[in-house]
Amino acid sequence: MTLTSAPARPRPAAPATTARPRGLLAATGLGALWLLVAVGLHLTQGTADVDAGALWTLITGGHVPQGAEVVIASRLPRLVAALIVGTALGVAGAAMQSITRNPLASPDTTGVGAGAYLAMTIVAALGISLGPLPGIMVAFLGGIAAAAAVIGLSSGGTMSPVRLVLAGSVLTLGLGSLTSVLLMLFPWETQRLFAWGAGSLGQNGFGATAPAAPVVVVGIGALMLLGRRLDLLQLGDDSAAALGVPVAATRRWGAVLAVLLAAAAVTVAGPIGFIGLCAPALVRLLAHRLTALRKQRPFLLLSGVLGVSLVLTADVLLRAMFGSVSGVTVPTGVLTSLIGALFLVVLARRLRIAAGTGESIVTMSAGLRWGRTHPQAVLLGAVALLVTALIAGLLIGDRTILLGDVWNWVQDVASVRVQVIVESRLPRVAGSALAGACLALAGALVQAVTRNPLADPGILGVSATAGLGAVAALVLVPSTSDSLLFFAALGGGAVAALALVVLGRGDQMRTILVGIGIGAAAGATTTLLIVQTDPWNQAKAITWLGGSTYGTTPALLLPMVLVLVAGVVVCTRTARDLDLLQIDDTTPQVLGIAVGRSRLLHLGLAVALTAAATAAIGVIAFVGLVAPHAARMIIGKRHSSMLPLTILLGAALVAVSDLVGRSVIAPGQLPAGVVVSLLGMPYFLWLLHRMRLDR
Amino acid sequence: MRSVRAATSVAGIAAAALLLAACGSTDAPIDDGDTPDGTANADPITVVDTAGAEITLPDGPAQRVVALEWAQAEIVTSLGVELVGVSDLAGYTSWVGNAVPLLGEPADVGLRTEPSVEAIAELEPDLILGGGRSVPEAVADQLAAIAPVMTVDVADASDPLGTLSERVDLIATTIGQQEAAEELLAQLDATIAENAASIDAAGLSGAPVVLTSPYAEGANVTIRMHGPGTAVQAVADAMGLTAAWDDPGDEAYGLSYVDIEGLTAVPDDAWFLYWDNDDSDDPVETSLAGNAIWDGLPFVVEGHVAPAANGIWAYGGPGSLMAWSDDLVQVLTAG
Repeated sequence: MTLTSAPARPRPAAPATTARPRGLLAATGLGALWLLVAVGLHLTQGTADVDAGALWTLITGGHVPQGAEVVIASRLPRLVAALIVGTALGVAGAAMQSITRNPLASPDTTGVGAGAYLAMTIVAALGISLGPLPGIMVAFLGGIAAAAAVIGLSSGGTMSPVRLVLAGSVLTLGLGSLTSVLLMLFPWETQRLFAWGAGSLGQNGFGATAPAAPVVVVGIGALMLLGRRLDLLQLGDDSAAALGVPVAATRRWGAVLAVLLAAAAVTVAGPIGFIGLCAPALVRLLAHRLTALRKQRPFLLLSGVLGVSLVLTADVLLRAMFGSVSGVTVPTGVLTSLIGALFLVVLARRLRIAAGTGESIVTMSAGLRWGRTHPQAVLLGAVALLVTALIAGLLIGDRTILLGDVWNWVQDVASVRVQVIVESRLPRVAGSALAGACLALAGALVQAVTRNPLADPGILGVSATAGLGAVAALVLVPSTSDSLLFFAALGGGAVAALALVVLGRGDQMRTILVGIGIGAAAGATTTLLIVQTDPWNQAKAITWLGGSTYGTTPALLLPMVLVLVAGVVVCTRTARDLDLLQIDDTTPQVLGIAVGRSRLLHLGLAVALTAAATAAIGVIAFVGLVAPHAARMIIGKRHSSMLPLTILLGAALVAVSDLVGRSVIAPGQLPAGVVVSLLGMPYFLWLLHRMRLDR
Repeated sequence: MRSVRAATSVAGIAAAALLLAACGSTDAPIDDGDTPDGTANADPITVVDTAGAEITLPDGPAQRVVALEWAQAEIVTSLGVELVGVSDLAGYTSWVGNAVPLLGEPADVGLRTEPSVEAIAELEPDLILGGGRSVPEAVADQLAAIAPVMTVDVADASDPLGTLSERVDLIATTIGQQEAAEELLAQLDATIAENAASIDAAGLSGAPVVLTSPYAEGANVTIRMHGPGTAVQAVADAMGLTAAWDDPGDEAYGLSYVDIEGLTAVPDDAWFLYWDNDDSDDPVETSLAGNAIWDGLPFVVEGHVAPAANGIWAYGGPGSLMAWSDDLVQVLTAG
């Protein structure tokens, strides 16, 4: 047992180690005590009138009306669910981290939850109501498929830590869009899915936990068998292979088992977020003090125990805060996501990230030769594309009109019908194009400044916090004015940006992690807000968060126009600075550019652009990623020509998405942002795949 | 690169073709001298809707009504007027259709939370009826450009039936069906009285009942409970039955949510009725049966559990409530 980890990090026998175990013992003891207390508290919580006194009566053999049934069919299943979910997620996270040697790997970052949720939603939308057991199978398959896609796409020989998180977050976002579409199209069939999507521990007897428990036990057992190989794997692939470990097979089996555990947890309670990330990370903190924990078997097992503690604590807190009755409608997963996401931010701060792990813009392909030599022609083509998209957007929708109608409208001789159609459609078309332009420019700026080709206001959590600000204003203030909405979104976005700058400390990988954490926390809080207000707000909120131009008025477009104009004006002067900033820190410094100030200026601009777009249209992801990329691939990396193309492409992308969303299921409508995600996710994943091949 | 050039020219040709095809118009331009045909000489009608807005119908009672919520759609239909448009047509048929089937063939105008402004404009209505939530603030102005938009919230948990009859009168005024409204409300009272007599005759007076709607998803079961402030419970109360669930719930609809163990608070002698729908599975059979708590609940042991209100809208108008009242008698006296 003790042979393998010693060479990994020889430790001098310092006197401190003798003093520390006592503190550690005390901490472990306190932890164990808390676990017991949490179990006890957990059993007393519930909607039935079975409290601690009644429990005691039952334990001592007394009779409480309905008491035994409540304990057996509701309290114990919920406790067991917490145990299974906590253990499975804790161990799954630890295993994923071990096989990838990536402290950020976890079920959340591999899309298991999103995949399972989508599978459940598809089945519900089809009107098939499955019993608990087939339902588990469906969620299971969805989870495994998503995880396989993420791991497959993000891994080549090795997995870059942030790339895995990125692939997982993006897949989660894309699958989430697909789920939103289904939730909107089938509101009745899927009515209870929204809350469940954030993970709820409520159990109907042992129906779900009974089949999951053996899976978890077998999964953990198999991982224990792999324990020694995993220990050796920590030495590095080459050393492990030299010591006779079949590296690829170990990794593959470890991944399958971890996903199996995570999927089992999802089937029991839905996606309970971030436990698989937090628990192993906490154990690793302990391992700094206690060498024994650096071995994989105790590491995996303790991660499971800590996972249980976290889940139980969250569930006890949740019901203590909201009361048992309204606790029914508030999913536990919201709380764990909130705690876990903030934890990810802290983790990102502590993490020592190896330099040069990220892909830089500089190393990416530099555009088509034809595009680079004929930038004007390309830009002209993009203008034509955008104009076509705008005209098509104006003519096509729920009801198709023709140019003659528009001409009648211009001359003010149109029928009321045409007048209403044109006047309700114009702001939508303009709004979608403007939002696309704003977000694309924001994405390009963030990417140049952070030198991170995968940065995007959506991925960095700026959109989500801006959205949270707007939804908070929408829910909390009785009649929300347009300007309040904008400033609420701006406030939210600014908080995220500030956190990114302060906590990210200029490191691109750390910044992305902080952003993903902030985005997840904002998402969880938004869910909480919606679930806690009224269920009828749900559709409205999903629509809004999906990035819809529905009901966009000219007044809402003004902030976008202003910020976009400001952005274009600034960027025409700083395009050359951006060209240098995207290379490295020293080149621009040598050439006399105030790097810090320039970075701040462009980040601030990006936040304002994102907030304006979010306040008007809602949360739209991927534009800030897809548009700059496509532009860079066509026309090259010079910002003087790349930025205009980015803006044009972004505007066209969202305008076309909006057109599709308005017409495919008319008279119903899909939010533009959802359509963008559906188009953007494949592009992003393809990009990740391609970048893998490049290496 | 050649492919780019080819793509550009293809795009150009396509754009030109599109442009050519898009010329022409779908509506003839209007002349200034053109007056709407039709001989609406009735006096203008002015009412104040539940949002406090003053609504004026210049040509008298509305002839072409679009309803954005099912309750309003049901009330208009019950008053004998054909709608020209209704939100989520299929949903209406499934959830309200058994109580008050739609008259004529109204068009679908989109989701209840997101009506299509364009579809509504095409119908050229002279009145748009909605609940507070079904007229999104953002499109209120656009809808108002088409026709007067009247918000009529029919639910108020503090006085569900009184509020409903007030709102029926309000809607009736706008479509010139006051007499039909009087008749409809009298019919509701008569139905309740008649059914109260049946309940009394069956010796069921004072029996606690509750309408529920259990939802199962994954391993989790949540039950929506229709509390004392709901219209369905008010009808049951008026029939001499009592409320089996006393959580007041939300302010408008009186709804609350609970899990299975919370059902232990339902009185032993209660009738547990659950909302039935042809397009959904039986929630009791699929998710509640077999649970130890459920199986041990006195009213389950007693067999006082039954599906009810199939195709009857629990948040609807007098038509739905009459159907619910009849259904109650049938369900309670069947076993």
